[in-house]
Amino acid sequence: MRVLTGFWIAAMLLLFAPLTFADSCYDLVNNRNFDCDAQAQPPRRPQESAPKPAEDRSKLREELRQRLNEKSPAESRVTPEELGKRIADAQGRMETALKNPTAAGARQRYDAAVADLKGAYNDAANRVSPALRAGLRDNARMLEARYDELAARANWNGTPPTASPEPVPAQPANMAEAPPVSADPGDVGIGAGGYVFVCDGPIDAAKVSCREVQPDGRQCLAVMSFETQINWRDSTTTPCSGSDLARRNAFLLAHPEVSGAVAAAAMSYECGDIAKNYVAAAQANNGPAAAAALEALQKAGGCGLLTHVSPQAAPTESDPRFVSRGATPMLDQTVAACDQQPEACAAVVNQLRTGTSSQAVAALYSNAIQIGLEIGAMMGSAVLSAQQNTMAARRLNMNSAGAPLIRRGGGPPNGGSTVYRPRPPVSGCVIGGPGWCTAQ
Amino acid sequence: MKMLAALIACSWVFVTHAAAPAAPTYGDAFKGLYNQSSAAVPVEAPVTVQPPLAILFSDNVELWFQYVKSSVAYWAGIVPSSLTNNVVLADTDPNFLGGRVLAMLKRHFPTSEYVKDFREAVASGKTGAIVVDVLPKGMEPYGDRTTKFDIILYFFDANMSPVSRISGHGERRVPFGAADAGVQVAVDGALRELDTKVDKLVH
Repeated sequence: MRVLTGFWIAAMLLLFAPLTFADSCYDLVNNRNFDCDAQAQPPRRPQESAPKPAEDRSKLREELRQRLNEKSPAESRVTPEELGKRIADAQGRMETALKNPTAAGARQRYDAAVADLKGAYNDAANRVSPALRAGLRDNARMLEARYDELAARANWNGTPPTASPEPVPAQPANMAEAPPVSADPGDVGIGAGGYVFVCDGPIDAAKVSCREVQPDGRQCLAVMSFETQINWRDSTTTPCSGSDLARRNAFLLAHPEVSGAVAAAAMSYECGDIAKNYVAAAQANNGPAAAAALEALQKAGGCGLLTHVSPQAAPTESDPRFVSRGATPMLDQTVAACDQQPEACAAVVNQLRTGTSSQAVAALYSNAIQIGLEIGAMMGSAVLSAQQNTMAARRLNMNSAGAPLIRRGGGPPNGGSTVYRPRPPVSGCVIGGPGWCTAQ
Repeated sequence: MKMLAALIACSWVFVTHAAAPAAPTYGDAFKGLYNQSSAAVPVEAPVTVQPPLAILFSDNVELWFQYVKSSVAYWAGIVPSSLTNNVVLADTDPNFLGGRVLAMLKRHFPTSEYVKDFREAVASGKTGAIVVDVLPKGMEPYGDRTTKFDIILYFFDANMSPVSRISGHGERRVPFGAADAGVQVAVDGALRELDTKVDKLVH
């Protein structure tokens, strides 16, 4: 009978599966319980009481955006062509100063032009990938060495410079009007795009095989030139031979006037790669790669592409699609608190998981069986008068959750050490105390 | 014996005639958040997001949490505290669902933050958003004893337009005699499925 009653009680417990515990809330921010009904939101610590001012953050962000936009607007819009022109312009001023070193202020003009040349190369180098940067720096160094040599020959105190063994050729008025492969006494020349061609014979021959050295200074593309016109190109590039690169460098050293065109070609080459990567990333829906390519494109001055794209308007707070949300007390007490204190939240989740473990279930069953057995024993006492003395004091009060359910021994109803309280099924949870991990 | 019969009768009254809170009716995931139907969002389309992201929870989640709270309060008035089924309390606690979903999302998007609505998302400079929706189906003691959870993530691009809907499903058939309601198992299953899909579809 006692066992039967015990199992009946256990079965009833399972039927009453939905839940009983004190209506208390747990504040993840302050790690304490509070009365949910007394206050919709737990009071926060003074330093946390003020919500983060979204408006202030918005203003700050806007200010940062403006500052970023204001930062070097001229620099950020420099195109390869403009950089090529800056280099050519600096070179032109350097040569003018060198031609007449005795003129008033020639030295100052020369120094200023050198500074501009370096600045232009730096700007170009900062806008290309590391692979191309090294090539540009090499070109800049070659050019500087060349002009240092010329400057050393000039007597800035009034003596005319000695004749240069290799007179500096005149700067082409317009790079775009240069022939596809410029005629050169040798077999190396430069095309309109700023690419250097290294040929197996005279560059203006009726038919000659050449290699178009790519701006990275490493890859070459095989081409066929017919009287300086390229009418066949290989489909892929191959690594340049050492001799081809040496001939190219010698050509650049001897022809500093083409440096601007070469630098511009390097940047344009980079633009082509960036644009290709950007399109590929966008087509693959690859956000990080697209963002990186866009940043590189912006860094390269837009490559003439971004000006054709109208910027997408960012949504504003007053966007008609957005609904002003009403109160969400449960989300505020659970998810919002969890977001603010992820460690405490993880601890709560772990305790809740422990609360459904087999040990917790076993404790629940054990508790139910114990209570059932006690009730069975109590009812048995009514029949077995022989045990009346020991069982008389036991009472069952199912209407008061706070009062002890069952008393053992003969003490007073509310008193003393003889009160029996069944152990809570789960003893490890400290989040909600007696009410368990109750955030509601 | 008479006492036992009275106790059984009393329990039967509790079970059959008590007005337990009714399960809520769940609505559109964007209700109260965004003026558009969530049904039009492409299902499991590959999506590219740009952090930081805002994390929003739909009204359905709030409804579920309120339902749990009202159920707890209701049964607390019937079952003595010493007989409380603490296992089912732990199983259904809203902190589990909220905490697990947040942890999973933050693992994928470490700079993401919970916000209340889209206006707060834009005001706080978020360049995308995820709306978390949930469709729970609790076990029925005398019917379908399966607890089911569908957790759905709606991804919004930098223009705060919905671009993809990715869902995960988990369920547990609760056997007779089980002390829990199968919520944690179902939530874990749904999140496991979601985790895999987010890995695959979200860049």
